[in-house]
Amino acid sequence: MLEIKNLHASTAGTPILKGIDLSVAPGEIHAVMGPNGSGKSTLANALSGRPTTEVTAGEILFEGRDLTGMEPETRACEGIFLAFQYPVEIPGVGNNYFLKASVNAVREHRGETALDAMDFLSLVREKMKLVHMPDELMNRPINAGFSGGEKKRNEVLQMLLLEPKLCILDETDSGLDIDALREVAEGVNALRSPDRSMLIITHYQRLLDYIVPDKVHVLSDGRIVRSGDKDLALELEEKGYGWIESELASNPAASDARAEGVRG
Amino acid sequence: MSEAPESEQSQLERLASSEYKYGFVTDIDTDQAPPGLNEDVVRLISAKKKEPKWLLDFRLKALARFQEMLEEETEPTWAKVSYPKIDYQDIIYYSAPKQQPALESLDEVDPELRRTYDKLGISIEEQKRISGVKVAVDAVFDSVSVATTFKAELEKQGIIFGSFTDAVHEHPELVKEYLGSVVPYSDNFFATLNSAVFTDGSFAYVPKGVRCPMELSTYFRINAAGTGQFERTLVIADEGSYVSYLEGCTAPQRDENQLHAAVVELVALDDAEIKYSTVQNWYPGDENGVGGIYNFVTKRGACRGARSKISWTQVETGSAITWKYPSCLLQGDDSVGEFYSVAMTNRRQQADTGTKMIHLGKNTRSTIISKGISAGKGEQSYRGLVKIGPRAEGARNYSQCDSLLLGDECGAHTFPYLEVKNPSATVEHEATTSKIGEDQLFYCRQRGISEEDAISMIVNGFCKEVLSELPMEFAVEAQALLGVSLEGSVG
Amino acid sequence: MSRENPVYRSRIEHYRELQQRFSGARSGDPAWLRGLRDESIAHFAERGFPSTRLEEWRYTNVAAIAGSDFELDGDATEIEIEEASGSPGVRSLKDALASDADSVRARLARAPEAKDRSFAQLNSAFLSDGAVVSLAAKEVAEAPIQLRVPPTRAGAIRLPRLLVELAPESRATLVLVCGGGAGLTNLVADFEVGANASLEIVLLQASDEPGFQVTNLSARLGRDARFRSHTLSAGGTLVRNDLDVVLAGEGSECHLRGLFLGREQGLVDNHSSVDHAVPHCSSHELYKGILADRAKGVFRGRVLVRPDAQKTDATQSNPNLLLGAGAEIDTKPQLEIYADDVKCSHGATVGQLEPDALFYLQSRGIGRDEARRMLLRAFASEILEALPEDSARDAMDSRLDALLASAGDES
Repeated sequence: MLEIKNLHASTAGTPILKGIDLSVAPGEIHAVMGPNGSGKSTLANALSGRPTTEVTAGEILFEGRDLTGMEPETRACEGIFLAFQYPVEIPGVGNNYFLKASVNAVREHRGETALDAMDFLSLVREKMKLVHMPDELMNRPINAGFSGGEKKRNEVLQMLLLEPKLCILDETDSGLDIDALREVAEGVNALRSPDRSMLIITHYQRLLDYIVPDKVHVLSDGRIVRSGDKDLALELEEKGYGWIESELASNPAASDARAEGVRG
Repeated sequence: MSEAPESEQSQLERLASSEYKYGFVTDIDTDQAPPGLNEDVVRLISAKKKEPKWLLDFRLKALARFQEMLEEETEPTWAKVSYPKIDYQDIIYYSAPKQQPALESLDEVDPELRRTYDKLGISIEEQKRISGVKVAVDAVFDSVSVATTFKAELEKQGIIFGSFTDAVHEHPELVKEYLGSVVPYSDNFFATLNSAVFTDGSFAYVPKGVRCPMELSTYFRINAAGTGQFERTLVIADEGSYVSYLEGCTAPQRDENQLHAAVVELVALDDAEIKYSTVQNWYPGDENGVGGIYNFVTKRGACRGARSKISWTQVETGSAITWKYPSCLLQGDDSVGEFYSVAMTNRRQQADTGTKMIHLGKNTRSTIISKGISAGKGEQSYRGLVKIGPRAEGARNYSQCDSLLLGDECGAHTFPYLEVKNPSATVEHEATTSKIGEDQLFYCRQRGISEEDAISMIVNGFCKEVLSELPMEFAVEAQALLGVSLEGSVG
Repeated sequence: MSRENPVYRSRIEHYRELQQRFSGARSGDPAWLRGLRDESIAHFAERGFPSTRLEEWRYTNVAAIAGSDFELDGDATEIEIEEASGSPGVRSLKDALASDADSVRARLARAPEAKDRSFAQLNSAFLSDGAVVSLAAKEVAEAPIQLRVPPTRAGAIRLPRLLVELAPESRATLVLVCGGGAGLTNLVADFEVGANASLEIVLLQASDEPGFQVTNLSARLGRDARFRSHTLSAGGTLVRNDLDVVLAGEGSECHLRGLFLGREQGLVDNHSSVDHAVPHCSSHELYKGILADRAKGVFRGRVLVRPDAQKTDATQSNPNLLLGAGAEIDTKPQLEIYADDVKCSHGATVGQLEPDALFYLQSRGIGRDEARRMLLRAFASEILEALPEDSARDAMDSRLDALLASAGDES
């Protein structure tokens, strides 16, 4: 599904990612964890093609095709979805209108017919139930005046509507209380399928109690420094990120761990 | 972001370079006065139109005042616009299509002229209003009204709608009573010039208690080179009546600047309502600022009667320079004034526009919603005055002025003036300036929406409160017009 | 009021003569100083007093000033320095000129020219005394520096000058009391705030007499510098303050705050201008006005964001209460923006004490007067609570009471 090879990326001229290797097979869920500033969001931006993030070296292969240089909307239409860490407010543009434009753009790209207002409405209603989102949020401008939780639900709702092949969740759990987290996770789990992969970027282990990953990677200073199964997340939670860093300092051969990540 | 990403920058450049669609010139014979401004020209205009003496006197008074103004150099300079000094002796003050009036029916309209309006998408043939919505159109070509549709149907209800010249002959008492009663001949530099040399325009009168059954519309077209356009519009809504009036305008693409100095006067008596909508798309000049219309217009409505209402809605996308402040004199108690505006400046366009709400009567209310969009090297200012007179007990005003910037070479300025002389008044003003953010664009693109669609979605969202005030037909045209400026913004 | 007007022409001659006598008595002063005075009186004579035809003076008519021959009030230029604020960096301008004329000259040269400001030029024409505050790098003045312009007697004019300079990383609070009186006080002050330095000033203009106060204050901020001003105006016939701030260093920040109270036929006019010249600066402005009787308030707040000043964050707000039937407010917030990546907003409101709130308080047994006082206090408190010292707050509190008593039966 996704194969990242030696990915280097920078933001505003500052190198952030310094050689990421990662491979995600169809149906797999990978978690990427790491302290603040380790490059987690830059990874999400590089995968989704944010213009401010510049890929300086390496490849991102999605279903065998290199994504670098592809417009963000084309990537979206091809099935890459980013749930934003900070969903953007767009005053004046109705959520309903926006979602319909988005769904139809993706449908048209896939060669499907555009949904009319009625069909779209019933589809949205059905998906909204899954994320426990009140109807009135559809009539408001995109994310404007939404609470933190409502914004995150709106992100997952969009994901349910667009049915992407690769879901990238950038800190979707941050700012959520435990009940909201559970409901959002339910929405995500509803999308689990053998031909859909997910990359879950998080600072905390909590989310992984609800969305159990196949692999966990630890990002530090723009590199994957350690990979393992879901127990690695628990270990991290217990020992803190300092643990990885001090271990790295004492054992420079930690690059072995990186190699493991590539094969995983 | 410290540096704009390439894609955004190039897109903004493309945005600034979209073409003007209405720049063609119609090859038609015209009857013109020689360039220059003097008593002979004014007498010539008046004679051509077989005007009564009182109207000639009105013109001559204005001319005398204008000549004083020229000497005193009182051409306004406070607006945030700059242009080379206009030589008022170098302008042609009268230009009319030759095959001229006394039209018995629309069939007699010069076919070339008809094609011009067809090209503009303005049908002046009644049967062709296929949308099912009837709009009575008065087409003004250069300075002369060339056709008015649905005249007979309107007359059945006592509604007078047609060219200003016809009104002077057919309803002199109405014209005499109201002309200059809202915008006096000496009001300001450009209004005074207009009062001396106006050639034609539209006139509408809606009698007591009548709700005008269709939109009244004037479509202005400047065609001849070297001419100024000086039209005069007068709309009177008698007690308890309602009328919705639309105005649209285009001009050919020429290298010279052309002056358009119009005056619009509205009068609403007790319980009457006038809704006046403008979509202004005069030629804006090219990307280097060559050519384009100087749109120096005085528009003012008097809410003379109790509970009367005047609402101005404007979408301003054209003209090299716009200098325009549609205003309301709220004289009647409980009268209401509204101003909804979207102005877009692109390339090297300059706009200094806004409104004046003068509260004189008790419990008068006004609302101002102004949305400015600046792109390219456009410069835009909102200038608005809210004045609450000492006797305007309980007056209320709410103003909101938002500016949206696209690119880093444009400017947006806000100059509200609030003058309150009554302590029971409530006046609120809010203004914001923001840009279309990289983050907003990326969010839309990540959901599969192209950059171009994302921008137009955001721009339309930004203008929504104003566009929703336009009559349906016009709203579509206005949206399309905003779209034209954005067209081809993504390659 | 233009200089063509014969009446004001003779007033200008009056100041020219006054200045000649003044300068003549100081023939021992350095040539540059005498030259500066002569140049300034020439600029003033050329412009005359400002007329309401000037946009900047549209709402403020100074005919009452332009129409009288003010004489100098004694030395007319001194500023009293309170003993308590005996920081070594605080001294009179006269002393500074005597001991270190060159550095004063250099300091003056860095202040804005203000050629188009008639009152500032008139002040410069009599430049001789006032106060100089200069803090060394990292110096922290713990106690507020207290300065006072003595009251000006009727028919007289004062023209003091204040020069303040904060070297990098220093910090000071300065309280300047303009004592009022029935004459004309024409103050010019210039503040230079160095890198990462912090200056807070309080300008208190409280007067019980029908006098005139005109001030021209300017401030320039270096990188990461902070400047807070509190302009408190109450009483007098006419108050006009011009406050111009230039955010010249990246990361600098200013807060301009003011409370103005107008009574009887008084006029209070606050003009401010914030120039965002470089990126990453913020400015926050809040001026509140309360106008009773037939008083008139004027507010003009200009925010200029220059093309390079990306990431500017500018807010401005001017809420006003009108209490008297003849009270008037003319407010003109104004944004001029030439950069695109900015966040700017402004707002102005004019209203009365909220009748519902008043009724609510009364329904809970609070007397009408007390209820009004509570609501007025609440309105003013946003400014008063943020003051760095108490005496100015107390002074304004008592003016607020006077205003209430005066507006007693209305609205």
